Amino acid sequence: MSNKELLPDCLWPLVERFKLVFKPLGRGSLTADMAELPAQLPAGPDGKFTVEDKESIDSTLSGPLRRWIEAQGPEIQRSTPPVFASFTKGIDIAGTSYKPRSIAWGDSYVLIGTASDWRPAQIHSIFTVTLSSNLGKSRRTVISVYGFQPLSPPDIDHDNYRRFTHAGGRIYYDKELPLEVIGTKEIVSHFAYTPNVCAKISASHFHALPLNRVSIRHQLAPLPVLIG
Amino acid sequence: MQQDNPDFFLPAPPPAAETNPTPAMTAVLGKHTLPEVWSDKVRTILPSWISPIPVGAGSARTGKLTADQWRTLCTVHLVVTLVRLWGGCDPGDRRRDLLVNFMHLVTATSLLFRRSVDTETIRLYEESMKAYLEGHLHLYPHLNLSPKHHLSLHVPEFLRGFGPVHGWVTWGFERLVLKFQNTDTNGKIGINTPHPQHVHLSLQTRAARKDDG
Repeated sequence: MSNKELLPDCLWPLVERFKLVFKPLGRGSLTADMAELPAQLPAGPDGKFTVEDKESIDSTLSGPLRRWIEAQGPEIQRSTPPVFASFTKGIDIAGTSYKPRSIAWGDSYVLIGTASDWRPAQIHSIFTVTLSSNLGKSRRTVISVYGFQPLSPPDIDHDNYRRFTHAGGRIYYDKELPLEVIGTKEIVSHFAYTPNVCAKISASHFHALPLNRVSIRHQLAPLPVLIG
Repeated sequence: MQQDNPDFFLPAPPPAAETNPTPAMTAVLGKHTLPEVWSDKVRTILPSWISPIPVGAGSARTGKLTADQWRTLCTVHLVVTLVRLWGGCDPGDRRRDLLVNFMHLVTATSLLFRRSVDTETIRLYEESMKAYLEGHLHLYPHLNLSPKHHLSLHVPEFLRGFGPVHGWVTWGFERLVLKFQNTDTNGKIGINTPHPQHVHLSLQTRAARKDDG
């Protein structure tokens, strides 16, 4: 199955997902974890989608969105930056609901990255855009987030939570970084936000405690080769 | 340390006669630490799917917590507060040892409730739970291990056989137990005393039947 010559290209995304999820010594694989997020809706026979993007993307979002498009694979890189989008009030990922901070403050604090290498952020908005390129059209749901500034090296020494790798969490400065756009696959989980937990850190800060409602795709490293 | 922190009533290594200390002597979270937990709890922002704990959790006047609330209290609120209060203690300070021991338990619990498990997760769980129990024996020599401590070491067998606990955990039974606990009884086995509200409803029903003729 891992042999590229034996499989058509269109099946390779499925093989990659399967290799990520399937683990002979693991238990609890969820079918939902294999689903690609966001769903790429197929275009109709006339090349149009049933869902129309009606809301315009303002200047604060257009720059981060363009940078996200440029960082994607060659298929998306050739897309024209979209001008309109469909904004949504929330998204469900692996059974957990994530919402922008204008809708639900507590549901907007998220960890992004991977389970072992995460950083806290707050969701600004969730929207779906149609990307057009010479290869065709595809719809992608993306999330704009504000990251938070990591502690400086002297202040890291005061962060006692880092000593407990699996259950302790970390402290970050309560200072927002510029807006960035990420894909839905980069969301790891929610976190508990507690402000100003260390008297030795003078700047405003908060403690981020991961709340482990994690799915398998964030825990398991991709397997090298399953079947030769 | 006991003079510095009135929360601690842990005795020096107990004499042979002191095998059954009073509960006060085993208190770790007391009148100084719990208010800190409540204060941090108010400041903590949680997602909507977390079961919130009641204000004053852990005190007698608040009453019993549900199993899910205990989990939230231990894996979220106590982690935030205890690491804040005791994380900076010097090596050798008993509070630091207590914190490390508690965090072994939290780590084991967090690993246990993952939606998917593999051999590495199970190994980490076993490691954390054994470290917690060994620390328990060392830090609380006057307390015996309970059957639940013993059973916790059998959980890896079930994880290997049946997968994540979400598939076989008995939250349904926990809810039923809570329902039973909240049912008013007269405390006498075999003698049924109806609840006043039920009597009221019964009388209303009888009156309605009479009115119908």
